[in-house]
Amino acid sequence: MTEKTYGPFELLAAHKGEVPPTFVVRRRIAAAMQALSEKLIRIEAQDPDLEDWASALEQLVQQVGDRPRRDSRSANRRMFTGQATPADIFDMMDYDPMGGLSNPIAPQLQWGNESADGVEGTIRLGEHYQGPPGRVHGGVLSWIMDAVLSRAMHASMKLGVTGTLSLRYMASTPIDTVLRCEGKLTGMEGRKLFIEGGIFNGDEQTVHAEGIFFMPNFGKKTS
Amino acid sequence: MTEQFGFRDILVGQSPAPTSESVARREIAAQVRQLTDRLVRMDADEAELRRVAGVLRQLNQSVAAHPRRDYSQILQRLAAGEGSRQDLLDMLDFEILTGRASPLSSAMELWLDGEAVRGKASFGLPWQGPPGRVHGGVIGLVMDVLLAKTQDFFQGWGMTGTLNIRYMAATPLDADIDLEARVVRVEGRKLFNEGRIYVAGRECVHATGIWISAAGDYKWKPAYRKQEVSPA
Repeated sequence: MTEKTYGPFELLAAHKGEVPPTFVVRRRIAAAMQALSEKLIRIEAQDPDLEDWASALEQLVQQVGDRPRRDSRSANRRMFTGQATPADIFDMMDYDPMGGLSNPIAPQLQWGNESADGVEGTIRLGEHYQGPPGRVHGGVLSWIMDAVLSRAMHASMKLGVTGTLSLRYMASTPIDTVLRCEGKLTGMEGRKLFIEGGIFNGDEQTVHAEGIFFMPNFGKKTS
Repeated sequence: MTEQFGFRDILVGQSPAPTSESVARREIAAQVRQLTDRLVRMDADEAELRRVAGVLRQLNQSVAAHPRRDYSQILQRLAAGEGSRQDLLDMLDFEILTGRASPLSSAMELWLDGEAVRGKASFGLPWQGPPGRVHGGVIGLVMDVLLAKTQDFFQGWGMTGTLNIRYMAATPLDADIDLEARVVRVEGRKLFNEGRIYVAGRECVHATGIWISAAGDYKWKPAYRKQEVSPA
C-alpha cells in the first residue's frame, strides 16, 4: 500500500490529521521547555539551586549530543511536487517558529478558522515574551503579525514572500492573556498581494498590520 | 559605599559585571538555548525522546515552588537611581534576543558606535522560516529590538508606535548578520529612527520606526546632542 502524500495546498489540512507518535513526545518536550523558559525569568533562587539546574541542563545537552537533523530542504522539495509524507509535513509545520508545537521558542499561536475569507488564531504569551512590565514585547507582536498575514495568504491559496510589513501599535498588549489575531487578503495587483491583520485584547484592537507580499514570477526569466 | 544603578546610566552593550547569581542564570540560559537548537528536527528514536521529556519534567518540578521577582519594583528602583547591580542585571539579562539569561535569545549583540547603534547576530534552526532563511517575523522582532536601542541617545524611554519593514533579500540562516540603526529626528514625544540588516555587505532588510515616549519629550543626552542626521 502506498502512503498518501501531500502538496503545498494540502499542508494545513495534513498537519491537522493524526499526530505521528514521535511528535506526541516532541510536543511534550517543547511544552516542557516553554514552561521552563517562562518559569526561569527572574526566578527567586539561591546560587546552589541555580547551579544545580545549570548542571542538570548541561548533562541533558551532553546526553542528547549533536545528532543529525532531518533535512527540511528535501522535505520542502517533495512538498512542491506533491510527494510529501505525513512525517515531512510534521517536520516542516511542527517546527514553525510561530505556533510550531515542537519548537521550544515558538509563541504558541493556535490557528482557528482558516479560509479565503481570512484566518483567525488565539495566543497567550508568558513572561519570556515580555517587553515593558506586564506587556508583550512589541517585536514579538510584529513576529506574530508576519505569521498571521502569511497564513492568510496560504489560506487564500496564494504563494508569495513578504515585501513590506507595516505595523501600527494602537494600545498595549498584556501578557498572560488570551489574545485574538486576524488576517485577511484584501486585494491583488499584478504580483502584489495586499493583506491586513490585527491583534485584539477582548474588543480592543492593540495592533494593526498591513503587508504587501509578492507572488513568484513563475515562468519568467529575469536574467 | 554601596553601588547604586539607575536606568538613565545604561547604555547598549554596557552591562555591569555579572554577580555569581547571574553567572549561573546565564549558564542555565546558554544550556537551554543549546538544547533548543539541537532538538529541532533531531533524528532520534522515541525512547530517547522520552528520556529527554523525563529529565525536563523533573527540572520543571524542581523549579515549580520558586516565586518570581517583582519586575515593576526592580524598574521603580532603577528609575529612582537606587537599583542594585542585581536589579540592573535582572532587567538587561532577560531581554528577548539580547539578554544573556534569556532562553529566547540568539547570538545577538548590540553596541553604540558614534551616532549609530551597531550589532551582530546569527540565527539557527529554531528561527527558520523558508528552508535556509530566517523567519520573516523574527526579522520583525530583530528590527524592533534594534530600533528600540536608538532611545539610548535620549533621556526618556517609550514604546514602538509604528514599524515599517521592507524585505529586500532573504536573510540566510546561520550567517553573520550585521545590524545598524540611527536616529532620523525627534519631534517632542516622537523619535523617528531607521535600521538595516546586512549580510556580507548586502542590505537585506530596511526598517523605519516611530517610537513614542512614555512620559514627556525625548531629550538628547548632552553627550549626543549633535547627532541628528537627515533622512536617507
